[in-house]
Amino acid sequence: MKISLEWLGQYVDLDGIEPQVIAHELTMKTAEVEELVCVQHCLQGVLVGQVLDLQPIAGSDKLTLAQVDLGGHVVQTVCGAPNLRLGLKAPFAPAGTLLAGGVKVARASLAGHDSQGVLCSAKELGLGEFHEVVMDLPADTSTGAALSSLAPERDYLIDIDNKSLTHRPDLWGHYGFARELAAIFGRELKPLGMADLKNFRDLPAFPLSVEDFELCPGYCCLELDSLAPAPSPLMMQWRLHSVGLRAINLLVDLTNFIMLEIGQPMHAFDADHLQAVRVATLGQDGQFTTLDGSERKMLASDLMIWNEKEPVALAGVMGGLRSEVTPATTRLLLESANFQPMTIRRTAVRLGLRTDASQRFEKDLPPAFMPLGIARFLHLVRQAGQDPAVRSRLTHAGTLGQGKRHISMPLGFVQAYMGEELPQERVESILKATGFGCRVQGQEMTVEVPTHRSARDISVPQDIVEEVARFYGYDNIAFRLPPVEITHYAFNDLLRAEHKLRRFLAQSKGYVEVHNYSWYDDRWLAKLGQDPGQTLTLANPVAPYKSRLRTTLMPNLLELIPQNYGQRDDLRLFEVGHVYQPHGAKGRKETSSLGAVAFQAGTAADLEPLFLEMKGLLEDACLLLGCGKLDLRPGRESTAAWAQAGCYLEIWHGQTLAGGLGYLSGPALNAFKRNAQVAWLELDLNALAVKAYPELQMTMPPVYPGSWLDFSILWPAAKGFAALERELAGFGDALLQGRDFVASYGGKGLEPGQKSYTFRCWIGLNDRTLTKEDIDGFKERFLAFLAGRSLAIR
Amino acid sequence: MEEMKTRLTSDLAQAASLDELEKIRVAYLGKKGSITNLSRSVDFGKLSPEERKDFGRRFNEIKLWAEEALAQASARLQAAGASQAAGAVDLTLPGARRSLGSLHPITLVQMELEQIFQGMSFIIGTGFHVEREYYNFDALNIPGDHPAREMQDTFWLTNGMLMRTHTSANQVRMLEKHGAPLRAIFPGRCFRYENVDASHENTFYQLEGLMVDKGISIAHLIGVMKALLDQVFHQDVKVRLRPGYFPFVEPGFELDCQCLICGGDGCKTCKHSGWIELLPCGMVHPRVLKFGGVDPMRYSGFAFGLGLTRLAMMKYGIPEIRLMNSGDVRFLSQFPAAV
Ligand SMILES: [Zn+2]
Repeated sequence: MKISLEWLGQYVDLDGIEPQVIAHELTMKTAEVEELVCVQHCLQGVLVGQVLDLQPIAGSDKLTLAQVDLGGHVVQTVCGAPNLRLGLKAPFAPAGTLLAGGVKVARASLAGHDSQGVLCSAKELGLGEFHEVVMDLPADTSTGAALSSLAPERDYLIDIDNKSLTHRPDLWGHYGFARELAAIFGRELKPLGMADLKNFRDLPAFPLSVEDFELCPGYCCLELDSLAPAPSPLMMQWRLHSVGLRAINLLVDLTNFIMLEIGQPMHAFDADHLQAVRVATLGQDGQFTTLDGSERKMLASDLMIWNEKEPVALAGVMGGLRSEVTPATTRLLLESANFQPMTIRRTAVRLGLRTDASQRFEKDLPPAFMPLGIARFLHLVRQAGQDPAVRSRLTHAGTLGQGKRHISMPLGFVQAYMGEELPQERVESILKATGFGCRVQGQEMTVEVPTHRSARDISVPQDIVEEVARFYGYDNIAFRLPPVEITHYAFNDLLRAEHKLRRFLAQSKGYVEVHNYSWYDDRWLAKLGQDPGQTLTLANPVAPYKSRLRTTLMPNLLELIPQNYGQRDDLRLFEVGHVYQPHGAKGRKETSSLGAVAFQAGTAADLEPLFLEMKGLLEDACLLLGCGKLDLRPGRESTAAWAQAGCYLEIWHGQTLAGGLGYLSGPALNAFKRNAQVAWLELDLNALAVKAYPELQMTMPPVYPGSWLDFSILWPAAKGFAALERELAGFGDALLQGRDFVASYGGKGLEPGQKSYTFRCWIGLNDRTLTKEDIDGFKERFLAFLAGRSLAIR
Repeated sequence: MEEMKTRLTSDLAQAASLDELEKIRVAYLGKKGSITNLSRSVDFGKLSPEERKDFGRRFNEIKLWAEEALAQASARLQAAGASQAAGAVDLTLPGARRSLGSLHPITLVQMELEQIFQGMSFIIGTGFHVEREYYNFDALNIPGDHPAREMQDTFWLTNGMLMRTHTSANQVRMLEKHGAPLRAIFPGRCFRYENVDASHENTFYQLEGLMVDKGISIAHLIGVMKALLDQVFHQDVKVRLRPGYFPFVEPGFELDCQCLICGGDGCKTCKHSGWIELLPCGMVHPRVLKFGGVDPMRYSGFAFGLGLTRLAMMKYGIPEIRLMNSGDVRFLSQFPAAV
């Protein structure tokens, strides 16, 4: 919202205060100032002119030849403005005048006629953006006067971040800011001139009914004669233009001006067509034509203003075409109402019609603004030189917002909450400066909330703390660290497991951590040949194919492989993130997962080492997490495209399936180019029940030195390592302390299909050092065992 | 025996490597070595006690002499070997590739902040991404008709739940779980319905903090925030509060820190204001405490929300937010796992 300092100056004297200081103080105490702009108006040499004669120009349907009186001498200009009329008073810039945008007016010959200057629009004077018409000055403006003697040459505009005004409907007009600045700088807030509405109390009421006071807590109206068609006073036009509104005529300008002054939107109906006002919802879906001529689709729940049985306005948003004031209108009904914010917002948002009025009604305006609007209207209309007869008394339904609200709190609450020892008198003086009342009784302080503050804004003692603290100045509060009681610390085991894995993978395994989106890309799933199955689904995804929440980290990780093809033929990526499963009709099961992929371009011989690297990673991870040895079982048929039977293992922790480990094969590989080899791992961290610090137990190393013997055993590769292990497990010996697998070898020197598996047997005795005979004896026994099982040594 | 000494001396002189030396040792002193055999070649039964004693003395003498000669030869060869090796290795070559990967920049920042807060005995919570409307809005004093709901463009799920729009959604969950007093942070992923471009992301990270205890005041809020920022930026940071509106705090603030680049004089980074808007914070609204089952007459507290994504961008000079979720290894591998 734009605030003009010149306009503010009408309500509070800001002389001697730098605009930058004003902007800074507002930011620090009231609302965020986004921008402070100095606006220079182009008034030098501009005079008030009056159109004396208008002649059409042959061959042009737009341009007119005008004779303009500048108060003593008459000049001629060629003008294309649509609002030219005989007697019009408007700013005239003679040749040589510098106008907005650095344009210098030149004497020119236009359409064959001498043009000695231009009649000016607001924009040409550096005032706002409207340039379609020339300014229409009031008839009593003295012809020939220098415009610089009637209007300010300079103004400062403060742009306030609307978001920081969400809770402050009282700041949706200039007067609210004037009130803040008066309190900040300790200056006097000038009262607004108001007509005394009590003078009309003997007049009849206008027929009015409100059906639902929830939707319309209050409604005020006043019937009066229509205004004579006339431009608004120069400074009213000026101020509207300066904050971006367009001056139109006195009636429209007055309602806009009051809205920008006190924040209360006003609406004028053509009362000739209005027998009685009723505020009610539409009741059934239908159409309605707003005064901008658009036909709009309405819902039964939209709140309307009715003329008996016909809806005439969209409450709080926009008037209707049929009740619009026209030059033929003889009576006006002035509306100043209060509507429930939510209902106004719903309608405005749905229709895409966020008007200046609806924006304010959405903020929960104080109902006390309603009568103020009407009293101010009558005051200003008289100031503008008109005195329309009032035909009804101030008619209202619902609240007038005059009731005072009180908030009580223990004496000293404000100070304690601020953490600052300021004297009680200071608290009271700050509150009084912004219109709050304050009373202390015993150990209780009761604050009276002024009627201009919204109930939503000020409702609890903490709201009073804010009022005091911000005017006291947050910078003046002496900050300090809170004293705390030391208690035992609750570690987050799951988070620590996540971090442990992150460090392990990145610090010792060379993996790159990535962040993927929480949803799938259906197009990639289709490429992978993956059926997403049951997922949670976004109702409003960023794209229709990005609606499914991930139930596994794997697809999005795999997608990064082709995305990084250009850079690497060797990738190690991991993600620790949440996955989401539907749980019942309205729930979800959200767990933390580790996903890792290893990619390389390679040949058949490279695949097994790649898979074993991933398996080793899992084994190390289990040691780090202290989750015990996991049970790896052959993977069955699965719905995951990356987990084909025979190409992956299920990871079981007790009775819980805690993940999988495998390599890509089959159709899923088609999603990758070249000779891609991909090993993958996914681990459900919630299923592992990890502890922050795993329990460890040492075993005593042997006192007497032992020895080791290596054996390479031939075995058909197709039978698999695990089967060989089972065979070897049948060997027991008093000397045997352990057996490690060292390496496997296949190829040159071996029969096809055969592999050699090398094991290291650790032997020793607890009571003495081994002798050569001991060692030879063990060797004999082990070889005899192998021979008995028909296992050959290489 | 003297002949054997001469032979050994010449053999040792010719030995060029430790391997050859070992062969010589076996040939003379091994189980079947020529010196060892000396004792076997003698029939001790035929010798007088004096002769036996004399042979024994000479045998030991030559054995000791041989061992000594071998040790000297070995030392000589080792010394020669060492001088040979200087230059055998190019010391200026780069180190062999270490197996060091990288952590996501947001993880790095998150881990650092977690350390800082653990140092102030804040516990760490996690929370859910898929959240109930109640925790994300209602329990934060954002009822259905509240304008604040509009400021946050929300991803809704077809089952009526939503993707949390802020980590604040975990405030009331933490209060319900732990009660008061409470010192907790909860970092994590948040979502807003936005089109992704250089400065907008629909998926980003925040770190929420919550402290509730008896007598907590605005002065404490400022104190803790300053302590946090001093540690984050490793210097004495100047902070200021100004009014900010968030329905779940009262009063609510925007916390600015003095621009670290220009020291407050004004520069491009701080848009010439001398201050950088850093984090929204405020005193926990009494209604939020009540939703969390905490009596606002006995306890008060403060809360703050730190943009982890934004902080990572500031700290590491990352100009585009969309790099964060790009999975581009060229970007991600620039952050060694140095935590
Ligand atoms: Zn700066």
